[in-house]
Amino acid sequence: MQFSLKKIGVVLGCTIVLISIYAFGNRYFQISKNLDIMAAAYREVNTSYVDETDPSKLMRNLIDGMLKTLDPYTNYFSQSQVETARMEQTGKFGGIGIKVDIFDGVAVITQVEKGLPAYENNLKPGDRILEIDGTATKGKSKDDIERFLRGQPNTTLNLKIEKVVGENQYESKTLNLTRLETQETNVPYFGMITDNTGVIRLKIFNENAARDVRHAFDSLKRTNPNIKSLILDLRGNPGGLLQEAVKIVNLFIPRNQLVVSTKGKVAEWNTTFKTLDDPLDTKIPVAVITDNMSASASEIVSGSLQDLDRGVVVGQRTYGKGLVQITKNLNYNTVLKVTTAKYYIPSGRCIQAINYAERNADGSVKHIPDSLKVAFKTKAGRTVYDGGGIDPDIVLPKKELSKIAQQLISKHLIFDFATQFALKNKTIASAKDFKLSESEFDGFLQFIKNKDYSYTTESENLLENLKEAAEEEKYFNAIKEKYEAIKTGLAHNKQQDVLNAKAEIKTLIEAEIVSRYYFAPGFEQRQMLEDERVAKALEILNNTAKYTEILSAKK
Amino acid sequence: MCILKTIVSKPKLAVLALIAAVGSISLSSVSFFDINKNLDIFGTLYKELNTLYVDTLDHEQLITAGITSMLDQIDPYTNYISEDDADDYRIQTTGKYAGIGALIGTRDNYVIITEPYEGFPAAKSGLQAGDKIIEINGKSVRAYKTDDVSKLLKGTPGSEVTLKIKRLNAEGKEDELPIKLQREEIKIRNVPYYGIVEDSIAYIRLSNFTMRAGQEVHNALQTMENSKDLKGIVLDLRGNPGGLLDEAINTANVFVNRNTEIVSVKGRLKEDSYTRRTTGDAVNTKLPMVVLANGNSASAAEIVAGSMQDLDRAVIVGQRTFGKGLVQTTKPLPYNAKIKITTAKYYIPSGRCIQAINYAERDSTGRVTRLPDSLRTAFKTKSGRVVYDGAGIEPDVITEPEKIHSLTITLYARNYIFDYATLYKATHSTISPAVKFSLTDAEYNDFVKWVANKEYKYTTQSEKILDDLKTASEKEHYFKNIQVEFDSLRQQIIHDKKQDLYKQKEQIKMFLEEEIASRYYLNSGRAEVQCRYDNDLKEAIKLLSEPARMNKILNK
Repeated sequence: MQFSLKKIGVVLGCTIVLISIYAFGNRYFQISKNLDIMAAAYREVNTSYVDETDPSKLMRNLIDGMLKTLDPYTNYFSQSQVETARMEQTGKFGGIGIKVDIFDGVAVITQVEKGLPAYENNLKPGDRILEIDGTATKGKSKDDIERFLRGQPNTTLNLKIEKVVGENQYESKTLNLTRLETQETNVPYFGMITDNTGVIRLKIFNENAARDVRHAFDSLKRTNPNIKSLILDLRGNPGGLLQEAVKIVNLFIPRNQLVVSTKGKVAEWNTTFKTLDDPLDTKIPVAVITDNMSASASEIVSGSLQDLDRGVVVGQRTYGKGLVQITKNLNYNTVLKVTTAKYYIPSGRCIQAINYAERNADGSVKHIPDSLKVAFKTKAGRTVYDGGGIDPDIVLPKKELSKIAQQLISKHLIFDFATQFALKNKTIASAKDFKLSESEFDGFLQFIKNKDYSYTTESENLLENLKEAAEEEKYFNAIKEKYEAIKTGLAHNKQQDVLNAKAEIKTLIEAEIVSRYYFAPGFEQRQMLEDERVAKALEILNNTAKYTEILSAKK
Repeated sequence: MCILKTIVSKPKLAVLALIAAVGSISLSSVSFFDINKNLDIFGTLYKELNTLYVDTLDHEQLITAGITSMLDQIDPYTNYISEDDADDYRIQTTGKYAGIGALIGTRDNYVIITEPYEGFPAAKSGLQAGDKIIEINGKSVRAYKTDDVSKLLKGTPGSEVTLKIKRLNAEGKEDELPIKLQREEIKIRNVPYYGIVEDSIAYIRLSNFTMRAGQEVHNALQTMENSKDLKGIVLDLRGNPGGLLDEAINTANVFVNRNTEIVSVKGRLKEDSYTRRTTGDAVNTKLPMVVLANGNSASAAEIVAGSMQDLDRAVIVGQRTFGKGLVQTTKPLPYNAKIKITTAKYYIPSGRCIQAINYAERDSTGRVTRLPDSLRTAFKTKSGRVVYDGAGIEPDVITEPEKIHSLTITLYARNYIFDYATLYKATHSTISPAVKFSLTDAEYNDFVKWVANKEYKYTTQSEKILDDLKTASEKEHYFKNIQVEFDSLRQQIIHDKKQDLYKQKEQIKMFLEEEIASRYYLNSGRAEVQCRYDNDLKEAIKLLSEPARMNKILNK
């Protein structure tokens, strides 16, 4: 008996082929079986349900329900959502340059962008929108209204509005505006925050984000040849186009370096992205500011600069979106946005924080636990981790607003005060220098005093609930005296609350007022002057020894 | 066809047929096209998804999730039943399976018997509530889940199964006992209990409408009629979630004559629209009757209660019923799957549909709405009383539902009531008949002592709110101001809680007696104790003793 290796090889080969044909066939059977069941179920519902059905709505619910079990970024856009789909794909949309919110059931303009149709027609924050193209805005959600406002560029929009002319005084007006193609501004503000340090505020990675950042950096260099360091502010930046992120990293690192690689299901489609251009400055110290809403492309930038030890990251741990999507146009004008790959930054890590493939028993998702994170090394040998966003080199949490400040914001009292202020004052000092005077702050106190701003604290509400429950459970008599004492203890002087938080509230009012005169650029500039994280970044950038230490520390 | 031939010639017939065909296509052509278009969209989308998605797809899980999501947003009764779920579904509708006939639960890592069904193998072989199952056919089942034990206990009728159990004895130790059983076809009773109360009132508890529910009610009433001169009937439908429509008709038939219309069902398709009349002889159409109903009486139970009200056959006592006026039909799907679809609404004798929630009209946030009172329509019963649609069956005599204290719930949920009953059974060989059985004050004190050693932290509503209050006032920076009073108030409530075992004695005693009686007399015993404390039943009995009042209510 002779064992021929060749024979064994042939047998093995045949077995493998047979197994893979079976598996292959089995996969196709699974698809066709389930598609059959689904089609039959769908038809049956549309035929026999007691009420008239809406086949498109049913299919939309089916598809949405299905995609929801995958991940939140894989979405279906029906024919009626073609504008939204385009916005997802390109960041561009046809609009008039306003942001809207619902205050007490009424649609109110909260922001106006300089240079766009709404601005050109003298619309201002505080003005109310009653009708859009004949449809009343009352009862509609914020999302609905934003959808109505958007449309194809060069189409017209008819608005019935109430312009604010005084406290609770409005003038009705109807306007026709033409939508322009617009996108959210990448760099709403850049400037020198001190004599030596420049700041660039990057809010999103839309088309030309890299060009805008390059232009900003260039401009700062030209007008301030002594520039010694740079802050790139990525707070709240949800991401956008991957290539723009790579080009932005390219401003600071040499040509031909690997920044990002993507890996999906099919090996042939894996891609790498290298820097293709000459950098602007490979030496200048850079600090990147992040918070927990900095995601995706923001994480590529902050993460790459971290992995290449090219800059320090200051702020909060980032969101943790390490997934890449593409949009595919399908039949009947529908669009599918689908997660096709994970991306990996220079150290080789993927910073995706939630594993959508592994869920808890109830279907909820969980963050990758620290114990399962894998360590990687930056270029200089510092330890960094995957599985949970970018950890800043210097951690500074966001400051939470006080309860009274939150109340004043949610009841839009700061907003309304700013609206009245803007009506009474034609100009103010520069965005950087504007300060609310003592008498003006008193004016604010006066303004809210006359308002019906019933502000029952959560504590007071709970105490009332306690009384009811204790009465029902027959404990109340025993606790009545103490209940009364607590009630007195909780009773508070609302004016005192505002005074206790004066500094904080003053800052908020000033920022809102600045935005009325100097729009987004002024607002962003103001925000940066007040932010602790920016201050911390400055501190580090001014301390060369510290900066170098952070980038070479063995973590 | 022959008839048609004499009227129209063949070519004309062909044209007519074509017109009819085209006509019917164009009537439904919009949705026909829409259906196919959407299926087309789905097919294309799925193909791309399968190719591009970053991970490999689990097709069954994915598509099932899609189907389920689509149906969830229609109404809660339209469901997808996969091949795997088909078995459970069958048991639900037929009430039949083959096994030993007992409810099981878990305790201390073991599966235990929680209730043997009267008349079935478990009870017949001497298995008791509280018995821990340690072996099945020689194999240890320690730490098994109830689902897995259930699978092992079920089997073909006639087959044998041997269990080894642990049972508490009078000395407080556990004996190991072998129990041999022969499996039978188990039919879960729709009428778990019936009996004569107050000497002459026939009480029938109907808890479901699976197959033969009507026959069970028929037999129960017949049996009681044969044994005594009855003065009234109480049909208890509280907590009955409904079931088969035909069984609702059969149940109504026990109390009303043959050929009475009970429901009319109207759907979109002809095959889903029909009326149902009683087809047999009643047992008794004259005896005064009360139907007990509450917020958990639904669907088929509402057909019975509602038709009894609309035909002025019975006075309804209790709380407003659930409001399910929708009928579902199960339709087959490929590969042994099924879909249960709401195909119709049903209308009871007065012509009303009692569906309370309108699933077709949702508010701007997608929530379902209830029909506002102002939009409800008035209908008339047979004798001219006014009744309304759109919100369940409203009782003629409204009673307050029992409020269960959080201590009682805790004792129940922590199985202290169950475990104490097990202990009681082990230490008392017999008790009085269930209709008389009661715990003495001394015995209740024993229970209190037994429980005091146990961990029964329960949080009253008041305490929960206190916790929230502390969190909120800390966040709002007030807690410092109120800390002293707060702590003192909390102490006061804790102290008061110690009194709860006595403050709630009546209620807890009732739960204990019911559970203990069931250990000696199984479900009948439990029901007999419950009937003693039942306020709704007391109200019904009172009513039945006042024929003038009943006739006034029924407008007779």
